[in-house]
Amino acid sequence: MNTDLNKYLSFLSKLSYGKRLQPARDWFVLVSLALLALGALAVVSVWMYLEGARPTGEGEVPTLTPAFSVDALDKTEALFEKRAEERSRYEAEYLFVDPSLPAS
Amino acid sequence: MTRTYTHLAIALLVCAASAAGYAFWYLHVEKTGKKVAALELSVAARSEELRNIQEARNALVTLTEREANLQGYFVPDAEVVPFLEEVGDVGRTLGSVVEVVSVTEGEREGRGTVSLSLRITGPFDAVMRTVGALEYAPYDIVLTNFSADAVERGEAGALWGAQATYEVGTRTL
Repeated sequence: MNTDLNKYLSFLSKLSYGKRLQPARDWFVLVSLALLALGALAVVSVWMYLEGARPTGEGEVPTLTPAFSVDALDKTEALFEKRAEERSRYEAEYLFVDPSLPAS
Repeated sequence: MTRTYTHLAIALLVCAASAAGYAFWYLHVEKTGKKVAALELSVAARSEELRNIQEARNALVTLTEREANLQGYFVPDAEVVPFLEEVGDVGRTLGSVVEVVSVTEGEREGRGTVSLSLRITGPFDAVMRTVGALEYAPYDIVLTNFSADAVERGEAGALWGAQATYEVGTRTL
C-alpha cells in the first residue's frame, strides 16, 4: 500500500512543472492544444454544415397542379378540326354522280 | 514559481474569455444564419407563389380564349338571320339554291337549338356537296332528316330537290 502511494507520488512529481522555466515546452503544449481545438472545431463545423445542407422540406411550395381538366376542350377542338377537314372534302374533293344519269 | 503560476492562471483566464467570446459570437452568427436561411426560404416560397399565380393567370387567359372559340360554334339567338344568310351563301358557292322552309326553336340537353328545315335545289353533285358542307359547318349542327328527289330531268342530268332538316345549337347572348 505504501509502495503504491510512493509510486503515485513519484508520478505526480514527474508531472510537476519543474524548478526552471521551460518556455519551449510550454509553447509546444499550447500550440498542440490549439491545433487540437482547431481540428475539433473543423470537424464540428463540417458536421453542422452537412446537417444544415440536408433538405428538410420546410418552406417548399408545392408545384401548381391544374384544378380543372381541359380534356373536354381538347376533344371538342379536335372534333371540330375533323369536321372542318370533312367540310373541305365536301367542298373540293368528293364527287357525287347523278344517279338519274344512265350508267356509261 | 508563483509568478509562473500567475502567468498560467492569467493565460487560462484569457483563453477562457476568448473561448467564451468565440462561443457567444458563434452562437449569435448561427442564430442569425438560421434567421437568414428562414428568410431565404420565405422569399423562395413567395417567388414560387408569384410564379404559380402568373401561371394560373396565363392559363385562365388561354382558357378564356378557348372558351370564346368554342362559344363561336353556337349560333347566338340574336344572330339567327345572319346565320341563315350564311347557309344561303354556302349553297351559292357550291352551285345550289338554298331556301329556308322553316325555323323552329327547340331544346337539346338543356341547351337551346334551332330546327332548320331547308330546301336545296340544284344538280345532284351541288346538292350533295351543300348538304355535306352544311352538316360539317363550324357549328354545333346535326343533320336530322334528309330526302332528295329528281324534280326535273334533262340530258345533262336531273335537277334535284332535297329536303334537309338540321338541328343547330344556339346560345343566349
